[in-house]
Amino acid sequence: MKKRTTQILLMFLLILSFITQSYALEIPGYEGGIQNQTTYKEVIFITGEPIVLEGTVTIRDHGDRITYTYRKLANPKMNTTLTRNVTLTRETTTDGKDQKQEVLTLDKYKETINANGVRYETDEEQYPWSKAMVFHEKPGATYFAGNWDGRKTYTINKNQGTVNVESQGTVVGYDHNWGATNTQSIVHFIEYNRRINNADNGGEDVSWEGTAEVNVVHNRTKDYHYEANTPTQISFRGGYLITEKEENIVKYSYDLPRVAEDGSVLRGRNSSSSSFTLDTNPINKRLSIPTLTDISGHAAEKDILLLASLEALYPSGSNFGPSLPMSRGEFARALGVILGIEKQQEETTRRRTIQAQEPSTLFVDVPAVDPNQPYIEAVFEKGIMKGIGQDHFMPNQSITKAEAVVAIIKAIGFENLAPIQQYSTGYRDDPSIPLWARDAIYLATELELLEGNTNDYFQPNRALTKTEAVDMLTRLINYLQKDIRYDYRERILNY
Amino acid sequence: MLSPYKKISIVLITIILLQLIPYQAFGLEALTPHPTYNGLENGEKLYQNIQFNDIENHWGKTAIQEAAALSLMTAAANQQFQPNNSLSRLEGLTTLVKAMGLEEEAQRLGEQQAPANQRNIVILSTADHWGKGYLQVALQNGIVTPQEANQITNLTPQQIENLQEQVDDRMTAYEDRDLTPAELTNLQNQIRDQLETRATWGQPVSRQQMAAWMARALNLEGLYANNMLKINQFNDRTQIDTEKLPLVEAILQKEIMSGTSDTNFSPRQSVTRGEMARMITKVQEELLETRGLIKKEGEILSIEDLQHEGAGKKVFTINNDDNSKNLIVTGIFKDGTRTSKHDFPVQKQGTLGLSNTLRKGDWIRYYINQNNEVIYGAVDTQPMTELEGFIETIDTANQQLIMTDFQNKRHILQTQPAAKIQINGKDTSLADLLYGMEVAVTLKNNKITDIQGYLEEDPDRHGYIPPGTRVKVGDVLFISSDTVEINHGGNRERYKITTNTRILRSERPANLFEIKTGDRVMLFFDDIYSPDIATIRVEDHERHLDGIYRGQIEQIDQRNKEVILKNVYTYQQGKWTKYSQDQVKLKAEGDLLYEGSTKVSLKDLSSRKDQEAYVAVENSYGVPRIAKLLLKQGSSTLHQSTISDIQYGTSRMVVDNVGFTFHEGTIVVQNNRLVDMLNLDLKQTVHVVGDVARGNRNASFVSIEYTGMLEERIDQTRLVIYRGTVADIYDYGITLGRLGYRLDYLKLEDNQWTETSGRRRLTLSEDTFIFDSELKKEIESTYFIDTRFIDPEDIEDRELRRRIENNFYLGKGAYFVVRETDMDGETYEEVLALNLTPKAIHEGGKLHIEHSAIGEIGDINIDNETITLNNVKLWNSLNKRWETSRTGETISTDRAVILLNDTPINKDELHKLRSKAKAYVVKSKNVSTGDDAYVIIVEQ
Repeated sequence: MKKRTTQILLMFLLILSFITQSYALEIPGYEGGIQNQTTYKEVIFITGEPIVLEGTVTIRDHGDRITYTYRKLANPKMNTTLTRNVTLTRETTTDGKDQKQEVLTLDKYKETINANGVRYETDEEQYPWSKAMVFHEKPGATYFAGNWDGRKTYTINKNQGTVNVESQGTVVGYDHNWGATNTQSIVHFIEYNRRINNADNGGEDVSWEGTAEVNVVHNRTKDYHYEANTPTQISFRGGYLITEKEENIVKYSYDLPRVAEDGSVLRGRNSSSSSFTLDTNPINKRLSIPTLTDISGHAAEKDILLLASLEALYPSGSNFGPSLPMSRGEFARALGVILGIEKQQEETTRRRTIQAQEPSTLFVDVPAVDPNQPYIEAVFEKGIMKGIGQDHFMPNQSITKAEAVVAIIKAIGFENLAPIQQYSTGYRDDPSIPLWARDAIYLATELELLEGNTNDYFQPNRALTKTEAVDMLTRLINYLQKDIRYDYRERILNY
Repeated sequence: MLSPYKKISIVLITIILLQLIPYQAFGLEALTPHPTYNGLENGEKLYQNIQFNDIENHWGKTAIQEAAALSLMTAAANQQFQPNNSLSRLEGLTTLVKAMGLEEEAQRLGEQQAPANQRNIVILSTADHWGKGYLQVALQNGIVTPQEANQITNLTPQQIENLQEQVDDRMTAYEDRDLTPAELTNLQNQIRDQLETRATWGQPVSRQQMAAWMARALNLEGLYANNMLKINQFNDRTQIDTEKLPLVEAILQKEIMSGTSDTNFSPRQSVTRGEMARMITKVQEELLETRGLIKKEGEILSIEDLQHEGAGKKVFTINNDDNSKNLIVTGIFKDGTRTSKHDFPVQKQGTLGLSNTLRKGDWIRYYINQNNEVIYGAVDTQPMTELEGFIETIDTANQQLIMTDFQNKRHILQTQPAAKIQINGKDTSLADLLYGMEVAVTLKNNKITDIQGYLEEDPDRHGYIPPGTRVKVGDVLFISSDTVEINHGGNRERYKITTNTRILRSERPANLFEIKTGDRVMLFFDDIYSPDIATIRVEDHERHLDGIYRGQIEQIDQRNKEVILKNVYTYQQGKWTKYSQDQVKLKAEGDLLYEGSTKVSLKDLSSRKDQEAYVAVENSYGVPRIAKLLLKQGSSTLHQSTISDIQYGTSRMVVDNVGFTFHEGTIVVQNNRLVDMLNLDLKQTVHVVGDVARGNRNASFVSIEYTGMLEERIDQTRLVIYRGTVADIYDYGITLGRLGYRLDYLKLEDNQWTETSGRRRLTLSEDTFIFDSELKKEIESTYFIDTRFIDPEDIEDRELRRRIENNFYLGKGAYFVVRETDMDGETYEEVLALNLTPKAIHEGGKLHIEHSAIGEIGDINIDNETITLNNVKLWNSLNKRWETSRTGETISTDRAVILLNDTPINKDELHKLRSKAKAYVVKSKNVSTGDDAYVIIVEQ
């Protein structure tokens, strides 16, 4: 167990150290279970009542093949145990741009449930199943969706009858630097047919139908807190802490028969809903302590400090200049850091040819020594911001409000969600908003990535001040942390 | 030992390098992302050298200026170009060699072969030596063929004789000098050489010869057979040398030369210097790359003055036709003590000048040498044309476009690499243009620089979004039949509910009245502007409050966002009861944490340990979570009464003759939901927990008691219960009759049975639930609506069949559960459920044995058909108020009709009732069996 925990911890550390966009969050157990570092939980319905089982699962992903090994799943109160071994094969195709498709098929399957002395068994012969997924990789986030269908037949005590479970699942989610959500909705239709051998009257037929809906949400969250130091005689007042953890929720509702002790069906139905949660232990990371002298008491002080702690803002000296214009280079860096996109220098070549050759850069005005360089190049390569002229980025030129909003919307990949044709963004200076920025400004307003309401002036062509940039970027962080999760989690679980 | 030229070139290179240094330090790169070029060093001198006073009225003036500015041809004499003089063969070849960029090579060659001068006597000048070099380079590069050279240098005996005479004549000048025979021979050779060259290469060049040389310089293939198109129009073509004819054809097709008239080419006529200037300007365009020149053209965007190191400069910003930008800097450049002046000749409207003649907006064509210097610029009056039409074909590989204009004329067009392409004003690429799309195309230099595509717009679809994709999420602050106001991101926003608005909860249709204040809703819109809601989705019971706790803060976990409370009490029925657990762990993910009226953070709470707090707790996926927390301040009092006065402006209300201040932090609960304090209203029955601090009494927790199940609901419907007899039954109708001789039928009003008179006809429907509580049997509504058409054999139950057959129910007593809907002033009354009670006929006097109770659903026992109610309140008809019953109550449902959200359910559907749902029960005292419930109305 210790080893397992260490493995998981290591995995987390890896995620923390270089958050890769390709890391797609998988719900453990493709059938709607949840787990944290120590426990796996899922709910089954085939006996006629919901039974929550607890145990462990081991998932091995070999790329083209995934194996799930469920061990010691049990519910002692309900006198139920389950073992299951699954092997899936995966075929991946990409369009070479930003899309990826996966087709999963069931290769091997074995499941045994012992419930109150009744044994339910099934294997791959009895279980046609397939799943298809599509991934859309946008610069700042990957979105995905998928569906699966399966029809499983269990034998009851080998020869007493069968349980048919027809299941449809849909999966939808996203993954970005500030969190990931994978929501799975599964609908089961269960047909139960059993002949109970009874010494007294020679036997009794039991049959019933039931439905169940299981919603599973796997959630990775990243949160920030300001930790003030208790002593006042310390060189720094406090600093930010990033906490990352996973929240896993199962919410299920069902309409099942009322089943008596002996397996017979009683009058009325058993329908209700319930939910349970498993969280992982949080993993913390302390951020650097920025020393800025000109923002104490500023309305956006906390936000500026946060972004500076994340090194999204990287002032060269001890002054920040909150009302000065934000430069293109600074904005590219901030966006790059927040979205976790940075151009990685090839370590090996650098090590071998020590200072022998200048690392090549994309822009003549962004040298390799520029601390913003990896972010500027990443932001450019991902298509979030454009260069100017030939080989230039003009990192010291100011960025306009319209340009900044367009960059943010492109980063989260929502540029195509705007209304078509002509429309008003609602701002009082709507006619002065250039066409190329209109969609982004509309969307950013709708998603509340912008301060103020549409009765105001937007002033699209004005240089963005640092305070405004900080406001926009903190809203982006909060959006990525919370609002988008609401759309994927609560909307599916609660509405 | 370095040759002087090598020395010069080293010096030149050093100068160039030195120039680069101040240029970089100058840091124009910080100002511009675009390539920067300087004016030509000594460009002003060049300009002065090529000012000719004999070309003003010459037809080839601009070509001559251009050829001279590009250093392809030089003055013939001081300030003279002599355009009408014939061009020598040597001049022709020299010009070609220069255009090929081989000038330096030629000069070096000539220099290497130069014989030493004899005692300061100069016969052959540098020009003569270089001339030799040019000839050799021309030969080496195949411009001149050896045969041609032979032909030209082959002199007739007469010519040789004349030449010898001239040599002898020249030699007489050196006879009396004391020269050795060897020196004399040398001199003689030099003189002969000079004279020979003049007689051969110095002779005028013929047109056909020049054509051949140019063709070879351009590497043109000679054109034969069917490819001969142009030469045939000339009658004198027969005079062209056979081997030159294909080359003349190639030059003609390139439009470098044309005939001397429509019918004559005049192959043997000599070429003038003016003509050569015109031809070489065309030839050099093809040889730019060979010569190492870059040609660009574009519009001057701006001209700025710049001061640097005390010297003035001019910066021209040019937007090139490929959409790239360049800067050209002219003026004085300083490097230490060295000062240089950079400028370049500019031809504008036929006049040669310097860069100061350039103006903003000029369309300039300019040439850049290998030192990144602009050597020459020409301002052309660039024709800009616009075309409108429809796209026919797009070839993205070749960046080509075929379009048909409105005159049905086809155009095959080439796009500039960086042409601006937009559709409906939005940037796009060539690949996004569609067949048949209407476009307006701007052409410069016959290449597309701008494409504006138009997609037809349907004015009805402006701002179109797929229906239901605009979403607002918020807590309901206020809701009526046509409006909902939500708290959206701290703002109050109001939207319209129309007859088309759908209401959904957990993917199931719901009634409008099921939406309560405090519910979180998602509003979906079909349009980006519309306030009309298409769909309302109501959050399910997940966010309903689980309870109200009071406890001391024990621990705060900021990272996991958790609060641990100790000494916990729960609020129940106006009382604080000790909670079963000693300590409770609550999630604290929201931000509704208050100390008085101010919001506090979780961090602030960590310094409030042991302080008591009121907490509204909701269930979050199996884990209790803080919905709202208020720190307790001072000692508390508990009151239960109606609000007798309330003022929102001063946030004060009076309950139980005690004044309270309510504020942002006050926990106000109604229907198990947290609601805004503005939902407090006069005459509401409330439970108030008040804290007295510094003489001020603050309302910390207010529970608005629910009584309104039979009151008018937001969708303008209400439920009414009547107690009467079945006076008449007819098609989908029923008439309510008197209960007895002295007692009219009764209506449950304000929880009291009130005698009501007047004929009341109610609507029955197929969906009316009809129940015989004596037989405890449901009667299918079809049997009841009209017995005339029923075959009683269909009814299995014998007793029921007998009753139906005998019209048994007429005149018998019943509970009528009626839904009243106000529609345009008319009231529509439909019976939702009818509970027939044949035995319990009440004769005389008023009924007091029936009473009402409200409570929350607890356990449901399907086998016994009983429901346990918690938090029961009984109506006290003497005091006319609800009185709390201390214990839960188990009700038998076997005689009752049950309505769940206005839908009748039978006893097998009891599992649909959710625990904590509000129930209103009409009960009748029964001495022998305890209380019998006759009507149970449940809302969940």
